[in-house]
Amino acid sequence: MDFQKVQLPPLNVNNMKNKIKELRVKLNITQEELAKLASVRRETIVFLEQGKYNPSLLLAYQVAKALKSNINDLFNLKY
Amino acid sequence: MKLKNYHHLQNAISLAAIIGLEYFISVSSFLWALTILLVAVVVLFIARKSVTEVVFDERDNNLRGQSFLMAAYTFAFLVVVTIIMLLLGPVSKEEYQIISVTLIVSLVIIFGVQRLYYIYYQKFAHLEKKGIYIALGIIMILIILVGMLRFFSGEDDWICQNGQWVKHGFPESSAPTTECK
Repeated sequence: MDFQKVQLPPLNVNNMKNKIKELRVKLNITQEELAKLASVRRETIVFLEQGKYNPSLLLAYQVAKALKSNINDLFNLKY
Repeated sequence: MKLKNYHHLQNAISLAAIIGLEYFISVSSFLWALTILLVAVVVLFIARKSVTEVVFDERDNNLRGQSFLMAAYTFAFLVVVTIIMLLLGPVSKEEYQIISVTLIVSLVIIFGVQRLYYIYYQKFAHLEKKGIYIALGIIMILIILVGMLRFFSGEDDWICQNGQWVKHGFPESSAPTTECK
């Protein structure tokens, strides 16, 4: 397999995009309900949706599971 | 109990406990001070247990870490400013020494403890035999504490015995010039 070394830009939370709000609206659940499902506080969901908080891998999986999705569909790193 | 109400209760009890503690310590009623502290802890514990929502999640823990660090840096800055102000202000040398040493020691304790926890989480928390390292750490802290107590206890001093100044330990200063009665 041909592997090309590519230097990625430095880590920046602003490059992290997600579809949490989109999926939550699709499933017709409130931020409060999603917070309860994912065992976090509502503020955390607000910050996640706004892309202002970089969640741990554990929390990302938890939110993805609560939204009946997977981490790859939910989060995306865009430069 | 709702989380919002719990936070209001937490603030109110903390404030009341601080005022109560300060008052009772200032009038040397240590038993009352201890009672207030215990009551506050028990009430807060029961209140927290009754909260049905998530009290803290990982974002809160991150914020707590950042907040603590900022509080510690602010405290360090205030200590430096206070020491400089006292140096310029009308306080006696003894008062200046007591206040400065207390502030600096508290600063060293805050940053020292923070550093210890940082080292623990960085190097030992994930190890299987972390118990051994924790025990060693506690022994080291105890040795340092005993050393500090010995250093600050004033054991190395001149004692008045039978009308004469007798050396006790290794005092830094020479024998007092005042009369020994």
